[in-house]
Amino acid sequence: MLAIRDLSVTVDGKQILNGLSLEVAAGEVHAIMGPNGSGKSTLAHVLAGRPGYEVTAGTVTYQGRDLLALAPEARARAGVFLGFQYPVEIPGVNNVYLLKAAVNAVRKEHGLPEVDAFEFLGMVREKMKLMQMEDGFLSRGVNEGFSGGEKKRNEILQMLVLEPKLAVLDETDSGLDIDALKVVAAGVNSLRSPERSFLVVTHYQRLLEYVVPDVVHVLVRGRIARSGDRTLALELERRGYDWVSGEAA
Amino acid sequence: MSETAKQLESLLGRGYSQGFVTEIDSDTVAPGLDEDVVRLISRKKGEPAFLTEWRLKALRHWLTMKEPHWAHVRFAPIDYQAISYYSAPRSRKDGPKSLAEVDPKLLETYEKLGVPLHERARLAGVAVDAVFDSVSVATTFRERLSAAGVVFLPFSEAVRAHPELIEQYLGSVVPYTDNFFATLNSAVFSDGSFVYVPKGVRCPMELSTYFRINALNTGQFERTLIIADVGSHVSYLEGCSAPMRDENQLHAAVVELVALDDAFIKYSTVQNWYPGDAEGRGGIYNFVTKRGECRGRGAHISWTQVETGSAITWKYPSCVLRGDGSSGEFYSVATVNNHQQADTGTKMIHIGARTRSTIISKGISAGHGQSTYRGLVKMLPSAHGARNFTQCDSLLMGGECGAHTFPYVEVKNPTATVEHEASTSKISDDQLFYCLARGISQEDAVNLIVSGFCKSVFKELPMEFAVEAQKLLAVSLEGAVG
Amino acid sequence: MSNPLTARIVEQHASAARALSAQLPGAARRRAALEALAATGLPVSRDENWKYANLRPLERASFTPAALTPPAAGAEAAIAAELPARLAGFVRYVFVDGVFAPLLSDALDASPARVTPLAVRADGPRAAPAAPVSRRELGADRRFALLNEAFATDGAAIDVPAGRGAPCLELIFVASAEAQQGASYPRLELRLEPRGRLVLIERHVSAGAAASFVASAVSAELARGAALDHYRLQELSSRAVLFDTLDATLAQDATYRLHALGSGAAAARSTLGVRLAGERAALALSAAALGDRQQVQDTYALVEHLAPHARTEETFRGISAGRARVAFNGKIVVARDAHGTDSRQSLRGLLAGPEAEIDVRPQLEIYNDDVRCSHGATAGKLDDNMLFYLLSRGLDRDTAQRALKWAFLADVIARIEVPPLRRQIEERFAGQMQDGAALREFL
Repeated sequence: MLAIRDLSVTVDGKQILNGLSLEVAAGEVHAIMGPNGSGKSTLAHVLAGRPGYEVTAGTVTYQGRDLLALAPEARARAGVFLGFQYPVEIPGVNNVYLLKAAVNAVRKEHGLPEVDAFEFLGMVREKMKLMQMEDGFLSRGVNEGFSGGEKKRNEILQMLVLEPKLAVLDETDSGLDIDALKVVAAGVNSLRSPERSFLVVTHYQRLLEYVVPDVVHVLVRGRIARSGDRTLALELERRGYDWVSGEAA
Repeated sequence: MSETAKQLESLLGRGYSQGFVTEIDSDTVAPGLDEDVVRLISRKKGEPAFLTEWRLKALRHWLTMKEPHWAHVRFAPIDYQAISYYSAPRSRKDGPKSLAEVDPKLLETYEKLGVPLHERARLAGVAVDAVFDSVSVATTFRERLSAAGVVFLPFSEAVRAHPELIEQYLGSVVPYTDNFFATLNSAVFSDGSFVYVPKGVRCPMELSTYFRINALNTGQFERTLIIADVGSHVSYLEGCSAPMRDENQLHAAVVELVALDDAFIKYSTVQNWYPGDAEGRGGIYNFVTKRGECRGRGAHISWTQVETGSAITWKYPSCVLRGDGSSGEFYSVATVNNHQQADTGTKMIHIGARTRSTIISKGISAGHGQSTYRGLVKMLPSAHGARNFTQCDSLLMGGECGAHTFPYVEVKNPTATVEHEASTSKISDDQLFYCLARGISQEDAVNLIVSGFCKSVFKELPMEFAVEAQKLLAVSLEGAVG
Repeated sequence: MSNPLTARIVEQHASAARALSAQLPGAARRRAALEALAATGLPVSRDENWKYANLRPLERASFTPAALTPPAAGAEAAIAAELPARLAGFVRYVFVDGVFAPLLSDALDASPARVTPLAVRADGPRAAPAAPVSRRELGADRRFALLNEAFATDGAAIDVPAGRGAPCLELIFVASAEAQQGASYPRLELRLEPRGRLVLIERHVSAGAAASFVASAVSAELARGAALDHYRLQELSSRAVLFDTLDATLAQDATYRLHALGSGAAAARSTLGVRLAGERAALALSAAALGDRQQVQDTYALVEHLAPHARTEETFRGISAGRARVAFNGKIVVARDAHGTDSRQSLRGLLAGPEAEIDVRPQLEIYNDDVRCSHGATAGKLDDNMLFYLLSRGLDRDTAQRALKWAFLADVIARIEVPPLRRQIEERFAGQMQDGAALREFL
């Protein structure tokens, strides 16, 4: 599904990723953990193609294609989804418009006609129920005036509607209370399948109790310092990041 | 009570402490202005012909101009024929060769002002050029600077030592036709500082000029020119004071900065001219033109000013961002109390691609003071990807003062971005109450809150002067709340 | 101050005087206005608040009123065909080149608001109001209101007593004459009595593509507790030139919601002066301006807080494309006695063309320490973060930019509380923007 080799990235001339390598097979859930400033969010943004992140070395292959050569919108249409840590508010562009435009963009790519508006709305409402979202949300501006938790739920809703092949979730758990966390996790889990992979970036192992990863990586100073199964996350929780950081140094 | 609060408290009850007069025999030209006076000034300074001509052109142009009056600044017309355009302490013959030759009365004056000219004294890391009325009386640390290749001279000396640099750069940022007061200055400027930092040189110490108006009925018209050659780096600080007099005195200076490729100039001002008394009598009219040009790629000019003095301040330290990727900054604190008026701000003219500018302005009004921020951010069609961020906040203390914000934003490039934010309010009751609840007195609490309000500007000042600026602020706002 | 332009105004006034004498607002006021104008001349670009306006068309304009009487029966039919669709619940009055056109309008007694054509009122028992249309507060910036006062041939006086519900009026000012043949002087004098309410649509449109010269003047007096929802739509032809002056005074507890939506004309300048003269008066000014090709859209809004606890919320969104200039100069003055003032300004301009220009000036002038005033202004391109978010959801760049451009206007459009009017304005705006057809998907 996704193969990252020796990836180095600078932001404003500062080296953030430093020869990172990572492989995610179809159907797997990988968790990326690490201390603040280790490069977790940078990795997520580089995969989505955010401007301002300069790849100085390395390759990223997604389903056999050179992901880095694609524009952000082409990546999205090829099935890469980024769940933002801080989703931006876009007053004046309503949620249902965005969802529909996004789905139609993918359909157009595959030579399919636009969705039927009525069926589409029905489908979105189903998924909103799963995410425990109010109906009125659809006519509001994208993330406009949403609480932190609502924004995160909206990210997962978009993911459920778009059904990506590779979902990169950037600290989707931060700022959530326990109930919201369960809702978000249920959303993610409902989408797990043998054809779909997840890269879950998180600071704490709490989310991983609900979204159980196949592999856990610890990112330190821009590269993977250690990988293991989900017990690694528990060990990290117990011993702190210094334990890995110290080893890496 | 915090350390800051203690410092501030010890200063309360202190007025304008720099308002004394030095009794010194001066060579003062009779009041009045015509071509003969300009020729006389030029001759006294032994200037080359090109400079005399330049002054005369300025004078002739000035005679065609009208004194400007601005909507938010009020002052009585100035009698330009009643001002003396040149005054120098008489003891000085051909300029002191060393500090030992400087009149001890002058050394004492600067000592009293807290600007010791002895090189081993407190400001050991700072080279000082001391300007007394129309002339420079002392410049410290000359040897150490010249070893690094840095030229730091009184303007008059620079004219003789480096006429080619003067001819090339003088008036290249602020032309003699620029505005009424800059044109007047061009005709009659007396002294000031000249700095040239050669290619690749990082100036080994802070440079500073201390301006002192002493004589009665004298205008001060200094001229400062700083040139930072490719890849060089310099930080310059200007301070000033004047005796307490009932008459208004005119200070019309011009400062020009030129930064070539990748050069860095930081220019800081702590302005403490005599502000006039509580009824608004006397004080300095501070009508100053300051402009820097980032002429080269990646050049950087940063203006920081703390304006606490003067009856009227009118100045807009500006940046012309010509070089691609060049950047400009303006950090300002302006306080007005009693009947002071301050109309200050900046112009950021973005010409080059990817140019950046930041403006942080903090205005504090008390008493009957009127404080105005006036600014222009202009993105020309060539300014691709340029950015500006402006934040200007005003704090009001008392029902008789005023705070005004007049920004202009003009954008002619669709890839450029300008953001401007401003707020005006009185000191927050919540903040005050919080401090009072911690046992801090009302006056200390106000000083603490004001210091916090200004912090983002103070942190831009060189260390020694940040402390000085805080003290001045407390003094200038004395009695503002109570 | 005598210059060729002023001399021409005086001369044209003299030759029109005989015909004008029968019209409002009365010979004495006309003469006073003309004298004041002759003394100062019309504004020039050097004047503080006229820097961004396009004053060049004045050189070629004729100031003589284009019409003294309504259009003939045949001409009215042609104009009727060009009027916007009627809005349910709104009583409509039409003025052609400044003159009331009864054949295109509803009956004068169709609304609980008292509507009187000014020319009629001059003949009637009620004298014209003593106050000139634009008061001294706008100072030198009210000179086009003086021009209107000197030349106006007709207009509407509207009195709104307190009553159940708010009457809904639509006033349409049609410009049909070419500038060389004469100017049109739309004029509107509004008075809301205590607790009077009114929803007013004021439209400026062109019949055909005439290069008209229009100088309009509106005054509004809101008595205690009155509420006015005022929609001003400037939809003149792309060759027309407009100089507009609006002057409003709010008494205690009055509420004024002013929506200014400008998308037409070659050069339009709107000068707005609002005085919050009574305690707790509230102003919500939301303005949007679209410029394309070589259009100039310039607005100057002066808001004066003269009494305690008044509120102002000012929102401007401007989009400049082609080689257009869109400018908004918003000044809020807080007087010494206006304690408890709360004012907010949000002025934003979007550049949508490589040669376009945006100028914004959010100004605050404050003489009182018990205030909460803030302003924010931005000018430039679309927000990078928003753009990336939409791209990351698979939208192509064009669609994403269009969506954001449309969203940019949302803050102003969403405040239009008359749904069919909102729809009309959205259609109009979409039509005025380069990618209009594609924008319709957001409607």
